Amino acid sequence: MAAPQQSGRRRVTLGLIFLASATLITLDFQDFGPLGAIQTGAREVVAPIREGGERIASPITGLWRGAADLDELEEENEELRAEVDRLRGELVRSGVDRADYEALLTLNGLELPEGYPLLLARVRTGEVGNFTSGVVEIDVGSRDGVMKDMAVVTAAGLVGRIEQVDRTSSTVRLVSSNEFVIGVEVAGEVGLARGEGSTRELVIEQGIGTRAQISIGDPVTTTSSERSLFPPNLIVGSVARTSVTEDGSNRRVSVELAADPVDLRFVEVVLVEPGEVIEDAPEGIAR
Amino acid sequence: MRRLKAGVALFLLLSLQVSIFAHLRPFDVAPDVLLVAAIVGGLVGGGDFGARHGFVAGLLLDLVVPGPFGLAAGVYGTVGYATGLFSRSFDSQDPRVVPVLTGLASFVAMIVYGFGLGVLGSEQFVEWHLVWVAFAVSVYSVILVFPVQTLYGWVMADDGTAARTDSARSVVN
Repeated sequence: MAAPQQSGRRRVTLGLIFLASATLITLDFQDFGPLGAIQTGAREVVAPIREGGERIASPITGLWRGAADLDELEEENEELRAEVDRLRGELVRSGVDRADYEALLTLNGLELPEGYPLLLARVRTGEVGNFTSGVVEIDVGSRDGVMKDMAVVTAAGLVGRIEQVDRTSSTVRLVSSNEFVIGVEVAGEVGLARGEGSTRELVIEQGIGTRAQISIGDPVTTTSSERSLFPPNLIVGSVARTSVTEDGSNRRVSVELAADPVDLRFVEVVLVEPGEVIEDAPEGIAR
Repeated sequence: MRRLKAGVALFLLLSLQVSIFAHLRPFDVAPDVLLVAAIVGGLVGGGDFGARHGFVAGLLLDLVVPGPFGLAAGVYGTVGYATGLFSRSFDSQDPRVVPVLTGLASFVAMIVYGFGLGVLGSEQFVEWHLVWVAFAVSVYSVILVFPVQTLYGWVMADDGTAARTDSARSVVN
Protein backbone atom coordinates (compact mmCIF):
# COMPACT_ATOMS: atom_id res chain seq x y z
CA MET A 1 0.00 0.00 0.00
CA ALA A 2 2.99 2.30 0.60
CA ALA A 3 3.94 2.61 -3.07
CA PRO A 4 0.56 3.91 -4.34
CA GLN A 5 0.44 6.32 -1.37
CA GLN A 6 3.91 7.62 -2.23
CA SER A 7 2.99 7.94 -5.89
CA GLY A 8 -0.18 9.84 -4.94
CA ARG A 9 1.81 12.20 -2.71
CA ARG A 10 4.25 12.90 -5.52
CA ARG A 11 1.39 13.74 -7.86
CA VAL A 12 -0.07 16.11 -5.29
CA THR A 13 3.33 17.82 -4.96
CA LEU A 14 3.60 18.17 -8.74
CA GLY A 15 0.05 19.53 -8.93
CA LEU A 16 0.80 22.07 -6.22
CA ILE A 17 3.93 23.17 -8.08
CA PHE A 18 1.96 23.74 -11.29
CA LEU A 19 -0.67 25.64 -9.35
CA ALA A 20 1.88 27.80 -7.51
CA SER A 21 3.78 28.51 -10.72
CA ALA A 22 0.61 29.51 -12.61
CA THR A 23 -0.51 31.71 -9.69
CA LEU A 24 2.86 33.49 -9.54
CA ILE A 25 2.91 34.08 -13.31
CA THR A 26 -0.63 35.48 -13.17
CA LEU A 27 0.21 37.78 -10.24
CA ASP A 28 3.34 38.95 -12.05
CA PHE A 29 1.35 39.81 -15.19
CA GLN A 30 -1.12 41.73 -13.02
CA ASP A 31 1.80 43.75 -11.54
CA PHE A 32 1.01 42.50 -8.05
CA GLY A 33 2.89 44.96 -5.80
CA PRO A 34 4.37 42.72 -3.07
CA LEU A 35 5.83 40.39 -5.70
CA GLY A 36 7.76 43.28 -7.25
CA ALA A 37 8.98 44.34 -3.80
CA ILE A 38 10.23 40.80 -3.07
CA GLN A 39 12.06 40.69 -6.42
CA THR A 40 13.60 44.10 -5.76
CA GLY A 41 14.74 42.97 -2.30
CA ALA A 42 16.26 39.77 -3.69
CA ARG A 43 18.16 41.65 -6.39
CA GLU A 44 19.47 44.07 -3.76
CA VAL A 45 20.72 41.12 -1.69
CA VAL A 46 22.60 39.54 -4.58
CA ALA A 47 23.83 42.84 -6.06
CA PRO A 48 27.14 42.87 -4.07
CA ILE A 49 27.74 39.25 -5.05
CA ARG A 50 27.15 40.14 -8.72
CA GLU A 51 29.53 43.08 -8.52
CA GLY A 52 32.18 40.90 -6.88
CA GLY A 53 31.74 38.31 -9.61
CA GLU A 54 32.07 40.99 -12.27
CA ARG A 55 35.40 42.14 -10.79
CA ILE A 56 36.74 38.59 -10.53
CA ALA A 57 35.55 37.47 -13.95
CA SER A 58 36.30 40.55 -16.06
CA PRO A 59 40.03 39.80 -16.67
CA ILE A 60 39.17 36.23 -17.67
CA THR A 61 36.25 37.21 -19.91
CA GLY A 62 38.41 39.95 -21.43
CA LEU A 63 41.06 37.41 -22.33
CA TRP A 64 38.46 35.00 -23.72
CA ARG A 65 36.84 37.68 -25.86
CA GLY A 66 40.19 38.96 -27.06
CA ALA A 67 41.24 35.51 -28.17
CA ALA A 68 37.91 34.46 -29.66
CA ASP A 69 36.96 37.67 -31.47
CA LEU A 70 40.36 39.03 -32.54
CA ASP A 71 39.55 39.17 -36.28
CA GLU A 72 36.16 40.70 -35.63
CA LEU A 73 37.66 43.30 -33.29
CA GLU A 74 40.32 44.30 -35.85
CA GLU A 75 37.63 44.73 -38.52
CA GLU A 76 35.48 46.73 -36.11
CA ASN A 77 38.48 48.89 -35.24
CA GLU A 78 39.02 49.74 -38.92
CA GLU A 79 35.34 50.65 -39.35
CA LEU A 80 35.41 52.82 -36.24
CA ARG A 81 38.51 54.71 -37.44
CA ALA A 82 36.73 55.51 -40.71
CA GLU A 83 33.63 56.56 -38.75
CA VAL A 84 35.70 58.83 -36.47
CA ASP A 85 37.23 60.57 -39.52
CA ARG A 86 33.79 61.13 -41.02
CA LEU A 87 32.37 62.43 -37.72
CA ARG A 88 35.31 64.83 -37.26
CA GLY A 89 34.36 66.43 -40.55
CA GLU A 90 30.70 66.62 -39.56
CA LEU A 91 31.62 68.10 -36.19
CA VAL A 92 33.44 70.97 -37.86
CA ARG A 93 30.47 71.59 -40.18
CA SER A 94 27.91 71.41 -37.34
CA GLY A 95 30.09 73.79 -35.27
CA VAL A 96 29.82 76.34 -38.06
CA ASP A 97 26.04 75.75 -38.32
CA ARG A 98 25.62 76.06 -34.55
CA ALA A 99 27.51 79.34 -34.45
CA ASP A 100 25.16 80.69 -37.20
CA TYR A 101 22.14 79.36 -35.27
CA GLU A 102 23.24 81.00 -31.99
CA ALA A 103 23.95 84.29 -33.81
CA LEU A 104 20.43 84.20 -35.29
CA LEU A 105 18.87 83.53 -31.87
CA THR A 106 20.80 86.44 -30.33
CA LEU A 107 19.82 88.69 -33.24
CA ASN A 108 16.13 87.88 -32.58
CA GLY A 109 16.43 88.19 -28.80
CA LEU A 110 15.77 84.45 -28.20
CA GLU A 111 17.39 82.08 -25.70
CA LEU A 112 19.22 78.87 -26.60
CA PRO A 113 17.04 75.91 -25.61
CA GLU A 114 18.59 73.66 -22.98
CA GLY A 115 18.71 69.89 -23.33
CA TYR A 116 17.01 67.47 -20.99
CA PRO A 117 18.64 66.64 -17.63
CA LEU A 118 20.66 63.47 -18.07
CA LEU A 119 22.13 60.92 -15.70
CA LEU A 120 25.18 58.96 -16.82
CA ALA A 121 25.04 55.22 -16.15
CA ARG A 122 27.36 52.30 -16.74
CA VAL A 123 25.94 49.18 -18.38
CA ARG A 124 26.66 46.14 -16.25
CA THR A 125 28.02 43.07 -17.94
CA GLY A 126 27.01 39.51 -17.16
CA GLU A 127 23.41 38.57 -17.78
CA VAL A 128 22.03 36.01 -15.38
CA GLY A 129 20.67 33.14 -17.44
CA ASN A 130 20.25 32.78 -21.19
CA PHE A 131 16.89 34.42 -21.81
CA THR A 132 17.54 38.09 -21.14
CA SER A 133 18.14 39.40 -24.66
CA GLY A 134 16.46 42.73 -25.21
CA VAL A 135 17.38 44.09 -21.78
CA VAL A 136 20.51 45.43 -20.08
CA GLU A 137 21.18 46.39 -16.49
CA ILE A 138 22.58 49.79 -15.52
CA ASP A 139 24.19 50.93 -12.28
CA VAL A 140 21.76 53.72 -11.33
CA GLY A 141 18.44 53.29 -9.57
CA SER A 142 15.70 54.96 -7.55
CA ARG A 143 18.21 56.60 -5.17
CA ASP A 144 19.56 58.50 -8.22
CA GLY A 145 16.10 59.67 -9.27
CA VAL A 146 15.47 57.01 -11.92
CA MET A 147 11.81 56.08 -12.49
CA LYS A 148 10.06 53.35 -14.45
CA ASP A 149 9.47 54.24 -18.14
CA MET A 150 12.11 56.98 -18.32
CA ALA A 151 13.92 57.20 -21.67
CA VAL A 152 17.50 55.96 -22.00
CA VAL A 153 19.78 57.47 -24.66
CA THR A 154 23.34 57.63 -25.93
CA ALA A 155 24.90 60.55 -27.79
CA ALA A 156 23.46 59.05 -31.00
CA GLY A 157 19.84 58.72 -29.85
CA LEU A 158 17.28 56.60 -28.02
CA VAL A 159 18.41 53.14 -26.88
CA GLY A 160 15.65 52.06 -24.53
CA ARG A 161 13.30 52.64 -21.63
CA ILE A 162 13.60 51.89 -17.92
CA GLU A 163 11.62 48.73 -17.28
CA GLN A 164 12.46 47.91 -13.68
CA VAL A 165 13.94 50.12 -10.97
CA ASP A 166 15.79 48.93 -7.89
CA ARG A 167 17.52 51.16 -5.37
CA THR A 168 20.98 50.98 -6.93
CA SER A 169 20.33 49.51 -10.36
CA SER A 170 17.75 49.44 -13.14
CA THR A 171 16.79 47.22 -16.05
CA VAL A 172 16.56 48.86 -19.48
CA ARG A 173 14.33 47.40 -22.22
CA LEU A 174 16.25 48.01 -25.44
CA VAL A 175 14.60 49.83 -28.33
CA SER A 176 15.32 46.90 -30.66
CA SER A 177 13.42 44.40 -28.50
CA ASN A 178 10.10 43.31 -29.95
CA GLU A 179 8.48 44.08 -26.61
CA PHE A 180 9.37 47.75 -27.09
CA VAL A 181 6.56 50.00 -28.34
CA ILE A 182 6.90 53.77 -28.73
CA GLY A 183 4.98 56.71 -30.17
CA VAL A 184 7.10 58.44 -32.84
CA GLU A 185 6.89 61.39 -35.15
CA VAL A 186 8.10 61.41 -38.75
CA ALA A 187 7.53 64.21 -41.27
CA GLY A 188 4.78 65.65 -39.06
CA GLU A 189 2.93 62.31 -38.81
CA VAL A 190 2.54 60.42 -35.54
CA GLY A 191 2.73 56.63 -35.52
CA LEU A 192 3.31 53.66 -33.26
CA ALA A 193 6.69 51.96 -33.68
CA ARG A 194 7.68 48.53 -32.45
CA GLY A 195 11.07 46.82 -32.09
CA GLU A 196 11.69 43.99 -34.51
CA GLY A 197 14.11 41.92 -32.45
CA SER A 198 16.71 42.81 -35.10
CA THR A 199 19.40 45.02 -33.65
CA ARG A 200 19.11 48.04 -35.92
CA GLU A 201 15.48 48.58 -36.92
CA LEU A 202 12.06 49.61 -35.67
CA VAL A 203 8.87 49.33 -37.69
CA ILE A 204 5.95 51.77 -37.74
CA GLU A 205 2.77 49.94 -38.78
CA GLN A 206 0.07 52.00 -37.12
CA GLY A 207 -0.91 55.63 -37.37
CA ILE A 208 0.68 56.71 -40.64
CA GLY A 209 -1.73 56.87 -43.56
CA THR A 210 -0.85 55.90 -47.13
CA ARG A 211 -1.01 59.54 -48.25
CA ALA A 212 1.69 60.70 -45.82
CA GLN A 213 4.68 62.31 -47.53
CA ILE A 214 7.61 60.35 -46.14
CA SER A 215 11.02 60.09 -47.77
CA ILE A 216 14.00 57.83 -47.16
CA GLY A 217 16.32 59.46 -44.62
CA ASP A 218 13.62 61.53 -42.86
CA PRO A 219 14.42 61.86 -39.15
CA VAL A 220 12.24 59.94 -36.69
CA THR A 221 11.86 61.38 -33.19
CA THR A 222 9.81 60.80 -30.07
CA THR A 223 6.45 62.52 -30.27
CA SER A 224 5.06 65.46 -28.35
CA SER A 225 1.70 63.67 -28.04
CA GLU A 226 0.25 63.96 -24.53
CA ARG A 227 -0.08 60.18 -24.32
CA SER A 228 3.63 59.66 -24.99
CA LEU A 229 5.72 58.51 -22.03
CA PHE A 230 8.91 60.00 -23.42
CA PRO A 231 9.77 63.67 -23.77
CA PRO A 232 9.49 64.91 -27.37
CA ASN A 233 12.27 65.32 -29.95
CA LEU A 234 14.59 62.57 -28.79
CA ILE A 235 16.16 61.17 -31.93
CA VAL A 236 15.13 57.60 -32.65
CA GLY A 237 16.54 57.08 -36.15
CA SER A 238 15.83 57.74 -39.80
CA VAL A 239 13.48 56.25 -42.40
CA ALA A 240 15.13 53.31 -44.17
CA ARG A 241 12.23 51.93 -46.27
CA THR A 242 8.53 52.45 -46.72
CA SER A 243 5.78 50.21 -48.04
CA VAL A 244 2.05 49.71 -47.52
CA THR A 245 0.69 47.37 -44.83
CA GLU A 246 -0.99 44.11 -45.92
CA ASP A 247 -4.51 45.46 -45.37
CA GLY A 248 -3.61 48.60 -47.35
CA SER A 249 -4.80 50.99 -44.65
CA ASN A 250 -1.45 52.27 -43.39
CA ARG A 251 2.07 52.97 -44.46
CA ARG A 252 4.70 50.57 -43.09
CA VAL A 253 7.85 52.50 -42.29
CA SER A 254 11.14 50.79 -41.39
CA VAL A 255 13.29 53.00 -39.18
CA GLU A 256 17.03 52.57 -38.96
CA LEU A 257 18.01 53.27 -35.36
CA ALA A 258 20.44 56.14 -34.81
CA ALA A 259 22.03 54.48 -31.77
CA ASP A 260 23.40 50.95 -31.88
CA PRO A 261 21.90 49.07 -28.91
CA VAL A 262 24.53 46.33 -29.14
CA ASP A 263 27.57 46.22 -26.89
CA LEU A 264 26.63 49.32 -24.89
CA ARG A 265 29.10 50.47 -22.25
CA PHE A 266 27.63 53.77 -21.04
CA VAL A 267 24.17 55.28 -21.47
CA GLU A 268 22.28 58.29 -20.12
CA VAL A 269 18.89 58.28 -18.43
CA VAL A 270 16.67 61.25 -19.39
CA LEU A 271 15.48 62.50 -16.00
CA VAL A 272 12.08 63.64 -17.18
CA GLU A 273 9.10 62.12 -15.42
CA PRO A 274 7.28 59.71 -17.78
CA GLY A 275 4.22 61.33 -19.31
CA GLU A 276 5.23 64.84 -18.18
CA VAL A 277 4.08 67.51 -20.62
CA ILE A 278 7.06 69.47 -21.94
CA GLU A 279 6.12 72.99 -23.07
CA ASP A 280 9.38 74.11 -24.71
CA ALA A 281 11.02 70.92 -25.83
CA PRO A 282 14.47 71.24 -27.41
CA GLU A 283 14.19 70.77 -31.18
CA GLY A 284 15.81 67.82 -32.94
CA ILE A 285 18.32 66.99 -30.25
CA ALA A 286 20.10 63.70 -30.15
CA ARG A 287 19.58 63.54 -26.43
CA MET B 1 18.68 20.09 9.37
CA ARG B 2 18.47 18.77 5.81
CA ARG B 3 16.24 21.69 4.81
CA LEU B 4 18.74 24.15 6.23
CA LYS B 5 21.60 22.46 4.38
CA ALA B 6 19.55 22.42 1.16
CA GLY B 7 18.91 26.15 1.62
CA VAL B 8 22.62 26.83 2.16
CA ALA B 9 23.48 24.80 -0.95
CA LEU B 10 20.93 26.67 -3.07
CA PHE B 11 22.15 30.07 -1.86
CA LEU B 12 25.73 29.05 -2.63
CA LEU B 13 24.73 27.93 -6.14
CA LEU B 14 22.67 31.10 -6.69
CA SER B 15 25.73 33.16 -5.72
CA LEU B 16 27.81 31.24 -8.26
CA GLN B 17 25.11 31.71 -10.92
CA VAL B 18 24.87 35.50 -10.52
CA SER B 19 28.62 36.06 -10.13
CA ILE B 20 30.92 33.68 -11.96
CA PHE B 21 28.50 31.95 -14.36
CA ALA B 22 26.90 35.24 -15.40
CA HIS B 23 30.27 36.30 -16.82
CA LEU B 24 31.90 33.09 -17.94
CA ARG B 25 29.72 32.34 -20.94
CA PRO B 26 31.60 30.08 -23.33
CA PHE B 27 30.06 30.40 -26.82
CA ASP B 28 27.77 33.09 -25.40
CA VAL B 29 25.72 30.63 -23.37
CA ALA B 30 25.79 30.64 -19.57
CA PRO B 31 25.76 27.41 -17.57
CA ASP B 32 22.66 27.02 -15.40
CA VAL B 33 23.83 25.66 -12.08
CA LEU B 34 20.39 26.07 -10.44
CA LEU B 35 18.93 23.77 -13.07
CA VAL B 36 21.67 21.27 -12.20
CA ALA B 37 20.62 21.65 -8.53
CA ALA B 38 17.02 20.78 -9.46
CA ILE B 39 18.18 17.70 -11.39
CA VAL B 40 20.54 16.53 -8.64
CA GLY B 41 17.73 17.08 -6.11
CA GLY B 42 15.64 14.58 -8.06
CA LEU B 43 18.55 12.15 -8.46
CA VAL B 44 19.50 12.04 -4.80
CA GLY B 45 16.16 12.65 -3.13
CA GLY B 46 13.56 11.16 -5.51
CA GLY B 47 10.59 12.73 -7.28
CA ASP B 48 8.95 14.43 -4.31
CA PHE B 49 12.12 16.06 -2.99
CA GLY B 50 13.25 16.85 -6.57
CA ALA B 51 9.98 18.64 -7.29
CA ARG B 52 10.11 20.79 -4.16
CA HIS B 53 13.81 21.47 -4.45
CA GLY B 54 13.57 22.29 -8.16
CA PHE B 55 10.68 24.65 -7.47
CA VAL B 56 12.72 26.60 -4.91
CA ALA B 57 15.80 26.63 -7.19
CA GLY B 58 13.68 28.02 -10.06
CA LEU B 59 12.04 30.53 -7.75
CA LEU B 60 15.48 31.86 -6.76
CA LEU B 61 16.35 32.29 -10.42
CA ASP B 62 13.00 34.01 -11.06
CA LEU B 63 13.83 36.48 -8.30
CA VAL B 64 16.96 37.76 -10.03
CA VAL B 65 16.23 37.52 -13.77
CA PRO B 66 13.84 39.72 -15.73
CA GLY B 67 10.99 37.66 -17.16
CA PRO B 68 7.75 36.06 -16.04
CA PHE B 69 8.01 35.36 -12.33
CA GLY B 70 7.22 31.72 -11.55
CA LEU B 71 8.06 30.18 -14.93
CA ALA B 72 11.50 28.85 -13.94
CA ALA B 73 10.01 27.63 -10.65
CA GLY B 74 7.40 25.57 -12.52
CA VAL B 75 9.83 24.21 -15.11
CA TYR B 76 12.63 23.37 -12.66
CA GLY B 77 10.15 21.80 -10.22
CA THR B 78 8.80 19.56 -12.98
CA VAL B 79 12.33 18.66 -14.09
CA GLY B 80 13.29 17.74 -10.51
CA TYR B 81 10.18 15.57 -10.26
CA ALA B 82 10.75 13.86 -13.61
CA THR B 83 14.45 13.22 -12.92
CA GLY B 84 13.60 11.64 -9.57
CA LEU B 85 10.98 9.46 -11.22
CA PHE B 86 13.13 8.35 -14.17
CA SER B 87 16.28 7.73 -12.15
CA ARG B 88 14.41 4.93 -10.33
CA SER B 89 14.01 3.08 -13.64
CA PHE B 90 17.77 2.76 -14.20
CA ASP B 91 20.60 0.92 -12.50
CA SER B 92 21.94 3.42 -9.99
CA GLN B 93 25.44 1.82 -10.21
CA ASP B 94 25.73 2.50 -13.94
CA PRO B 95 28.09 5.51 -14.31
CA ARG B 96 26.31 6.65 -17.48
CA VAL B 97 22.96 7.24 -15.81
CA VAL B 98 23.76 10.54 -14.08
CA PRO B 99 25.40 12.34 -17.05
CA VAL B 100 22.84 11.07 -19.58
CA LEU B 101 19.84 11.95 -17.41
CA THR B 102 21.35 15.36 -16.57
CA GLY B 103 22.07 16.16 -20.22
CA LEU B 104 18.59 15.11 -21.35
CA ALA B 105 16.80 16.85 -18.49
CA SER B 106 18.75 20.10 -19.07
CA PHE B 107 18.03 20.05 -22.80
CA VAL B 108 14.31 19.47 -22.30
CA ALA B 109 14.12 22.06 -19.49
CA MET B 110 15.68 24.78 -21.67
CA ILE B 111 13.38 23.99 -24.60
CA VAL B 112 10.29 24.02 -22.35
CA TYR B 113 11.43 27.25 -20.66
CA GLY B 114 12.03 28.92 -24.04
CA PHE B 115 8.60 27.85 -25.31
CA GLY B 116 7.08 28.99 -22.02
CA LEU B 117 8.56 32.45 -22.59
CA GLY B 118 7.17 32.37 -26.14
CA VAL B 119 3.68 31.54 -24.90
CA LEU B 120 3.93 34.35 -22.35
CA GLY B 121 4.77 36.95 -24.97
CA SER B 122 8.53 36.72 -25.64
CA GLU B 123 8.32 35.08 -29.07
CA GLN B 124 11.88 36.07 -29.92
CA PHE B 125 13.21 33.13 -27.92
CA VAL B 126 11.31 30.53 -29.95
CA GLU B 127 13.76 30.13 -32.81
CA TRP B 128 16.55 27.73 -33.82
CA HIS B 129 18.99 29.49 -31.50
CA LEU B 130 17.02 27.99 -28.61
CA VAL B 131 18.19 24.50 -29.66
CA TRP B 132 21.82 25.68 -29.53
CA VAL B 133 21.29 27.24 -26.09
CA ALA B 134 19.63 24.04 -24.83
CA PHE B 135 22.45 21.91 -26.24
CA ALA B 136 25.21 24.09 -24.72
CA VAL B 137 23.46 24.25 -21.34
CA SER B 138 23.07 20.47 -21.31
CA VAL B 139 26.81 20.02 -22.00
CA TYR B 140 27.71 22.43 -19.16
CA SER B 141 25.22 20.66 -16.88
CA VAL B 142 26.91 17.31 -17.53
CA ILE B 143 30.23 18.87 -16.47
CA LEU B 144 28.74 20.58 -13.40
CA VAL B 145 26.61 17.70 -12.17
CA PHE B 146 29.51 15.90 -10.45
CA PRO B 147 30.64 18.75 -8.15
CA VAL B 148 26.97 19.60 -7.44
CA GLN B 149 26.31 15.95 -6.63
CA THR B 150 29.17 16.04 -4.11
CA LEU B 151 27.57 19.10 -2.50
CA TYR B 152 24.24 17.28 -2.31
CA GLY B 153 25.96 14.30 -0.74
CA TRP B 154 26.58 16.67 2.18
CA VAL B 155 23.00 17.99 2.03
CA MET B 156 21.45 14.52 2.13
CA ALA B 157 23.88 13.07 4.68
CA ASP B 158 22.00 12.01 7.81
CA ASP B 159 23.90 13.69 10.65
CA GLY B 160 22.66 11.19 13.23
CA THR B 161 23.76 8.20 11.16
CA ALA B 162 27.09 9.82 10.39
CA ALA B 163 27.71 10.44 14.09
CA ARG B 164 26.73 6.89 14.95
CA THR B 165 29.03 5.50 12.24
CA ASP B 166 31.91 7.61 13.54
CA SER B 167 31.41 6.41 17.13
CA ALA B 168 31.12 2.77 15.93
CA ARG B 169 34.39 3.18 14.04
CA SER B 170 36.12 4.55 17.12
CA VAL B 171 34.83 1.54 19.15
CA VAL B 172 36.20 -0.90 16.52
CA ASN B 173 39.56 0.88 16.47
